Amino acid sequence: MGLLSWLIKKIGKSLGRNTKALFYTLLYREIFKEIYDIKKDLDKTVKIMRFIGGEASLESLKRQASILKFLPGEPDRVLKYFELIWTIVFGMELGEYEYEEVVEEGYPYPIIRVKIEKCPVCGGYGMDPEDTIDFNKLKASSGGMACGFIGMIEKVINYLLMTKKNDFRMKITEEKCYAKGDDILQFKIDIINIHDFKSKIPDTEDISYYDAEDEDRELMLESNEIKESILDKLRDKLDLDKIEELFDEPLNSIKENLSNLIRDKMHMDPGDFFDYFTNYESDIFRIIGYLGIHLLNEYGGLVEKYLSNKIFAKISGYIFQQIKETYKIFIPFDIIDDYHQLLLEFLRDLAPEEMVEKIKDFSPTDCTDLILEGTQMALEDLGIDFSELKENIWEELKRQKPTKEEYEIPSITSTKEEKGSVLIQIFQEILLLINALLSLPVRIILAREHESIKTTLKSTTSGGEVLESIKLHADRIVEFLEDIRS
Amino acid sequence: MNYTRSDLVLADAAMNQMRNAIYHLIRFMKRENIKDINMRLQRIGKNIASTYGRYWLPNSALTKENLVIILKDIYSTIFKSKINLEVDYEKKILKILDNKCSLCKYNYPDIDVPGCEVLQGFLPNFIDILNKKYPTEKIISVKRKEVSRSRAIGDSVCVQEFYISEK
Repeated sequence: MGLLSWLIKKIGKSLGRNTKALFYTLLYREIFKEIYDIKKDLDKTVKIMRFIGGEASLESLKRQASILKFLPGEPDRVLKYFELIWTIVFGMELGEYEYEEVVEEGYPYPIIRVKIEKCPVCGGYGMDPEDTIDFNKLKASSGGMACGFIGMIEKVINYLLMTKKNDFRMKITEEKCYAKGDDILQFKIDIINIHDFKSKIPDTEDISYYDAEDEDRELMLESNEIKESILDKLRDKLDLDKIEELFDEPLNSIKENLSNLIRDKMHMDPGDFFDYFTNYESDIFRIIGYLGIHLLNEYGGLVEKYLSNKIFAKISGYIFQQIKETYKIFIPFDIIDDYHQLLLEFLRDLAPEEMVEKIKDFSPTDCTDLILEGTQMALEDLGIDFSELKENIWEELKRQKPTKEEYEIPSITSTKEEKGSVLIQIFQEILLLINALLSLPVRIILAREHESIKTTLKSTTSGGEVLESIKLHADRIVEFLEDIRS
Repeated sequence: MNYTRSDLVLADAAMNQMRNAIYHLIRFMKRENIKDINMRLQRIGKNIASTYGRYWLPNSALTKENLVIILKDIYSTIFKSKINLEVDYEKKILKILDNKCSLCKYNYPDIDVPGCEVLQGFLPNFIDILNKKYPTEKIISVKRKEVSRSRAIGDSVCVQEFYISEK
């Protein structure tokens, strides 16, 4: 379980109103017994208990919907968080469980079976004289004692899918039940289209006040009525699944996003896309630089607007030229090499092997030069005329040299201009000297910062000590909070 | 290997959904034209106490001397509630004030029977079991009286009232 899932689980548990689990279980048993006492029919009792569980869950969901909005909205991805949902609903750990997928032809999603070793609902059932219901008398198709609990979980998942405007819903049935003599609790999860879902809802004719279709219609209506805030929209894009991928494997996540982008926009397989650039590897780097600037400009065309001013365009051009000439002085080679390695890692699995090998042969500074070439092309597109620029900004500042005629008529003005030109040259040399002097400390600072980030990341991913430490301290905070509350 | 009840007595569970379920049960009963809802909720509590008492009990019978300690222990252990007590030995009435009742939290306009009616059945039976386990002189027995205030019916606190008697 990732750090964020763990954190949500902790928050969910600590926000919940706890009692002893035995009190919960016995209350559950007694509610079931009361329904049975009224209906005198075990199979009907199971249906009603299931609906009561669902209604109870829906009530909480409507109050605490925000915590679920971070969960993903596709059925297969929702199931990845089954353990988290279980813990939020029940407030107890799921424990050991097995997960089995049965793929059926023609269905978009497989049938899923979850085999759970510990059932909190019927744990110890049958050991006391008050356990008066014989669940063995239930029809095989009616489910088991966990019916109310299944109603709760099913409603949570379907409510989540509804809020995410997904067209699929889950139908959970209890196939095996400890109270029926089985040696495990087993759920079967069918992922079905919303239209089929209605027809598969258990027959509710006997449930006098719970009409499943009405209930489902209510869910559908709510789906249309949900007003999304900006935060909701952000959560849609950044659900728990995606955030955790970013935390766990940032490079893989970026790779996947790029692959999806190529598939969606170019209608090509990423491998085929990169294959076009085999033997034109240097162009890839130019494209990176070129697209980088154009992507930046996508945000309101700010770059283009800024460069439409001729003075700003010239200044930016000179700054860019300066960066291009001096980056090797200021940035240590090791840092550039690290990014080169990162790029190779990124391209592995995405691009053809032959291409990766060729890029490996490029020196890290060659790659950077090519990226800067691409950047320059984009900046030209957006308004910087590099052909107009002098060798450096100091040349620009120098006044144009006087013509021969002007030399022949010496004047006070030309003498002043000559002096000014010399002063600028002196100033330029002083700045270049400062640049050279500063290059060493700047390289040290950059190298130190780079190393410290690298070390931190390495220790987090390899040892996991940092992660464990975060969990330990957060655990203690939750415990203290619970102590204060009780 | 499934949980045993001895395992469950050591674990905590989130009560939120079950608390809501009690009110849906009450609605179900109302629609089924059940008239003795209070009695049925008390029966739930009584049966819970009978089973629970086999797995956990405080370590002495209820007496005048330990009444506050034992009742606070029961509420904090089982229901995770911090209660205040008002005992009137002359009128023989015990009031238990629970600001965060595990069975009531929200005010339901359609509900007139509070969920903590369950505790009216639970506590007398639980104390009975306790007193039988540790027979001693001058025990205090508890009998149900009423839920005089409840968050479920719009009050800010739940108040359980019981009759007490010294034997």
